[in-house]
Amino acid sequence: MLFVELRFFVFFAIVAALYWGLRTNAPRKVMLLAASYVFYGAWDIRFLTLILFCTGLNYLVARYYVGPEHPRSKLAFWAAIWGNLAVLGVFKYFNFFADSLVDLASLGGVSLSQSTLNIVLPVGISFYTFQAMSYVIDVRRRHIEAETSFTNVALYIAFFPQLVAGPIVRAADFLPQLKRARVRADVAIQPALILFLLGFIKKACISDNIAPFVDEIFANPGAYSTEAVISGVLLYGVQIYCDFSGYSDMAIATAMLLGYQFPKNFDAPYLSPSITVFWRRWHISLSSWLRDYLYIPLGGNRLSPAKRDRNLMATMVLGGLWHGASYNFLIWGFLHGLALIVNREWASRFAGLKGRIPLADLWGTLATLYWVFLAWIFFRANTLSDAWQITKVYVTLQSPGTEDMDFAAWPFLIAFASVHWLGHRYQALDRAERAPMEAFAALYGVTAALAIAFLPTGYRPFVYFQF
Amino acid sequence: MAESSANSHERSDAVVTRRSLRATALGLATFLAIALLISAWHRSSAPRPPVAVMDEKLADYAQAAGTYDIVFLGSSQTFRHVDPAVVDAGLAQCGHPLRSYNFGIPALREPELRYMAEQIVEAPEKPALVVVQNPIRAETVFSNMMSGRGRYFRGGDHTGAALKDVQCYTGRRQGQARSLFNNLRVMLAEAFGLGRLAETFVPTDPPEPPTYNEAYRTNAGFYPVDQDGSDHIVDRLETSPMTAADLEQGRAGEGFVAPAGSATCRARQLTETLDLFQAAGVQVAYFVSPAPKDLAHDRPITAAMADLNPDLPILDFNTLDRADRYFDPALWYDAAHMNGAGAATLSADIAEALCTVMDE
Repeated sequence: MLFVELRFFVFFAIVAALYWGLRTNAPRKVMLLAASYVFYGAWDIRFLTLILFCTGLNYLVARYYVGPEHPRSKLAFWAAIWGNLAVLGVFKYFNFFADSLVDLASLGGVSLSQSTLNIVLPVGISFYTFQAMSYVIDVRRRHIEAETSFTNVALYIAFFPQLVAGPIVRAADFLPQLKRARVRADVAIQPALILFLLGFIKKACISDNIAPFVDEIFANPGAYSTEAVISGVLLYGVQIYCDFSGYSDMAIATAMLLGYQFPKNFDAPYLSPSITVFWRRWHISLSSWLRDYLYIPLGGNRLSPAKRDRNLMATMVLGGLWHGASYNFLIWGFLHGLALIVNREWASRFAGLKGRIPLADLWGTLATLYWVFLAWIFFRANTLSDAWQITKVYVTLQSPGTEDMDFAAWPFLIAFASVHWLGHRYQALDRAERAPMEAFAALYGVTAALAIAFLPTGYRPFVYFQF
Repeated sequence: MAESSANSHERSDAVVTRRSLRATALGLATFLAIALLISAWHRSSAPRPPVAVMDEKLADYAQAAGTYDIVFLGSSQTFRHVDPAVVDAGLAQCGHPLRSYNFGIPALREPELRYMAEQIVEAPEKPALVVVQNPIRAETVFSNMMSGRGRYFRGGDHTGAALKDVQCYTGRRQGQARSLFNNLRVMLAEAFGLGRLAETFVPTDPPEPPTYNEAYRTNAGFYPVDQDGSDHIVDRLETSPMTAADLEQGRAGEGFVAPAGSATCRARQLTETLDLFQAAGVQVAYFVSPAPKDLAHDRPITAAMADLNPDLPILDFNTLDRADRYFDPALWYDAAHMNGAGAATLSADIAEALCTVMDE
């Protein structure tokens, strides 16, 4: 069930009516949990057993074993962490590591029989296992109390707006919201509706409409001219941003309409003046998760520069691997790790230079964009050799192919960049939220009708569902 | 004082509620107005989407204006079962040297049948006789209905025919529910202009519609299904073969029976189309093609047609007394279509039946 499908609107209308129709908190939470399982089960009913296992494991360990008074607290904690990682490992990475082992052995002259499992990747597994892990870790660190209510933990892990593609919500942010009944009068309906429509437009009207052109280029990069390949790369950057941030917007808005607050997941990342700032604005919930639960425990900034760089690289490479089991994602993570290290070095050595370079932020933004889009090539390419081929065109601006893209990419990209910048610069959403109710409603009606007319009739799943 | 403050709060809440309702109504109204406007603009500016076989036959028929005396209008069963060469030869033998044209269209549905009827009636040269077959039940594969063809024939000017098609559904209740649900979704999609601006401003290649061997274009609209050779036609041998059980079911006259109410409804709907022809001075006949799985289903509809139109010539070949002649595995290609040999047999019988009609 996708947020842009008619059946989701029907589903949400029923859920919202039932939810706000119930007066007390406990039945509301049970109803939301049931709805979340229906939402998740709509993909594949078998996935529910996995999420229930994950919920049970983390609830029990946090509740009964991870506490200073328990003699086996450390053991239980690591059992939970490894349990979560094992779920991820089996369902997401088994075939990748098995194949890699066979390849490695063959390089050493040893022949191993290929043994892969036919495993269906459960939707959103990376998101909810990370949420579950953060819960146990936060209890262990005593940032939060272990939750006594199973329903609360289950709802934290399975709450349908964020279940399949984030944002990755922290227990410390969400569990307190479950303690008391949400009040309908407190719901900011106008901002929530705007955010949902904005997400819908990004995902359905922009991302889905440019996806076929991007797919064509990435399917056969050698056939296309330099301009077409470059356009394809830039369009993919727009596609993935609109797809993922659109999904996040709709998730946040859906939660808002039920009275819950999720953290911001994107903050105009393509306007970042450096790669460091980019990672504070792109997939914020994942980057902050990796920072808090991986980079800082590894030593963070407190170690020598060499070890700090090693930690940064390890974090980004693992972040790449989080997206999927392939060398492409590994290289994508490596490229970002490299850029972050270079950026840090640059910032420490040439700190005084910034004020003296005219339009420093603009050059910084352009350089950041160049690198981010280069890294997207590896993120999107179907094979590693395709990625190299496209990268060569991207860097040298020379392609052996001659075919052009059947889409006016440049006017679109310029229009998109302008709207993106103007919207950010003049806080367009805040202004829309403050508009008088009648003007808001009329404008909303017009925009929604236009959005529906720009909806391609074939739905495409969200890019981030595969993660 | 406190009471006055509470009253003032209540009044203020009521004002806010009224304002919210008014704003919601305004939002819905603007949404509907713009959506309908986009849809109307698109329908008036965009050409009819291509419909395989229909477009070619309309063009060929127009080019051969005045050549044909008899037109067979129906679904793929007409397309694959009626060989005009055999029909013409049979008619010539009984002293009626006429020329016939096969206007069978794969998966013809009621709104399309009405459209075809209008095209034939509006042509300057009209045939003397149109033989109409009951189109297939409008149902169920949603992706087909959401195709350009499906959307076009469920929007604006065709809404009446589409709704009538749903109302007169003659299959099982489950199929009727699916048909209703799917048709409503497609009609809503069309009314709201779903995707129409995307198609106009960001056009992508639509999915390839199925193609057919075009040999029918030089053969008065007919080409036997077993010689077509198109991939999706060959696939039907595996996906929907004619089984011995199907043929046996036909011989026994068993299977789902169209409910009386639906059958009468469908017969009225078909009669409306026949009236279109008659009003233009074109004679009509009703044709029921052999179909073992639908024999029981078709009977009440044929009976209702006879009740409603006592003078209507009915060429009914899906009857128990003809079962042994047609329900022979050697005459069938797949579950719904006869092969070339079957078409030759049936076409000779159609000619004979038409001779009787002509003589009367």
